[in-house]
Amino acid sequence: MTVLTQPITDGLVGGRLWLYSNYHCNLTCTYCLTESAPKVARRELPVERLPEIAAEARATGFTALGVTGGEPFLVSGLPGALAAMAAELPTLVLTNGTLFTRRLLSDLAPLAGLEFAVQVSLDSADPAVNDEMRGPRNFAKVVQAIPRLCALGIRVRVATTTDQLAPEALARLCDLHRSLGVPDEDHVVRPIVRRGRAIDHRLGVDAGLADLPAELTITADGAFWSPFGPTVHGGRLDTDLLITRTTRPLSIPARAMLRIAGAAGARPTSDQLKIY
Amino acid sequence: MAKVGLVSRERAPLLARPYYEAGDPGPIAAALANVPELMETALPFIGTVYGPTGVAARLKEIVVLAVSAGNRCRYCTETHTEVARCMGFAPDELAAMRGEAPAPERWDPSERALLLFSEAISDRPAQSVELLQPHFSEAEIVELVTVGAVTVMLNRFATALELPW
Repeated sequence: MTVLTQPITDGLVGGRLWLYSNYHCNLTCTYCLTESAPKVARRELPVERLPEIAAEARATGFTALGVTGGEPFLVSGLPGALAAMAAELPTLVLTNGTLFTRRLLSDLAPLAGLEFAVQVSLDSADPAVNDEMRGPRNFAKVVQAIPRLCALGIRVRVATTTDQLAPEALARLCDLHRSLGVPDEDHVVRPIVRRGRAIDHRLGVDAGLADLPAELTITADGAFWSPFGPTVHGGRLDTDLLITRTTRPLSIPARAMLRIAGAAGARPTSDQLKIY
Repeated sequence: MAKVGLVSRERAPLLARPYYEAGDPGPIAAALANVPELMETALPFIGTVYGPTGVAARLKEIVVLAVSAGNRCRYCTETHTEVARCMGFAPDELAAMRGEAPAPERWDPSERALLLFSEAISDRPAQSVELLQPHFSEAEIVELVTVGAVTVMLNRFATALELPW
């Protein structure tokens, strides 16, 4: 029993601890929360720190881990770190799905059978529509990568981020993910949140403290309320959802998050926006 | 212009938000808000030290302004000159506390001792306490030293970050 056990059970705070492995990305998506791109300043958690945080997360009472960015698989040594993390807690990594070379797939092979999943972004069954937001040839790379990951025995989830998805477009997308080996329960559709680059493109929905789940999120810049928190706009980190700059020991931001959640009368996390 | 960003209400981190509810929290709080966990502990501490306690507010303000002037902290000197004026200090008293004139003759020995203490605490802290001992209890001395020490800290903070006044 830890300080987080009951609040997580009650749904006051989420059980998953998020880690922003990095902020840079090989893509420049129109709705990116963090204005990630190939040439942004490198801000990352040291890869050797990721398993340390995972062990601390388990001891603190978290029940799962999530890794996001940026594109996490641009971080050298990530597969080994993910294996060590998955040995601590069930681990989910979010990816744009464009970097799964034969070498990377080989490095990920040891993760098969662990409590580990890869969540790949795919926004439309129409390559032109998908690539308009996510970049040239994105669709082709993703539909190639997903079956390869599945073939390794790794659980794959598909995340669709959308401003508006007509029922027939959703149906075609679901047909596609099923054909790639991803069942319906592993397909998540989430709205674009109007933070980061989405502001410039006037995309998405506004979301504040009350709309976002209390899911502690660790970054190189500090600890945030939610994985939607450490956004960047105009090249500047948003601090409105910053909890503490301190991330070690993990109990400091965790306790601060509990105090804020209690003071804010936070709603159960099941009612709120999630990115997984 | 300050050497760090002064956090606006719109960008205030979660732990810092209560300090913005009544409006602009001032440059010290807005600078500390960059590290909200420091703000959350530092501001209540400063508020307790500077707020109502067993030592009269008038005596504490003599220390705050005189220490700030001695440390040449422009931000703290200017802001606390206004605070002291609002508290009812006369122009000749303000001049004395700012180091621009001798202590007024009507001041009692304990107030004069406070002025000397304030001049000494930054450079000769051990000797500074000896100036207080004939006039104040041990509890009062601890409190006055705390007021002086917190003021020194804030003088350095405001001067180093070039906070605007």
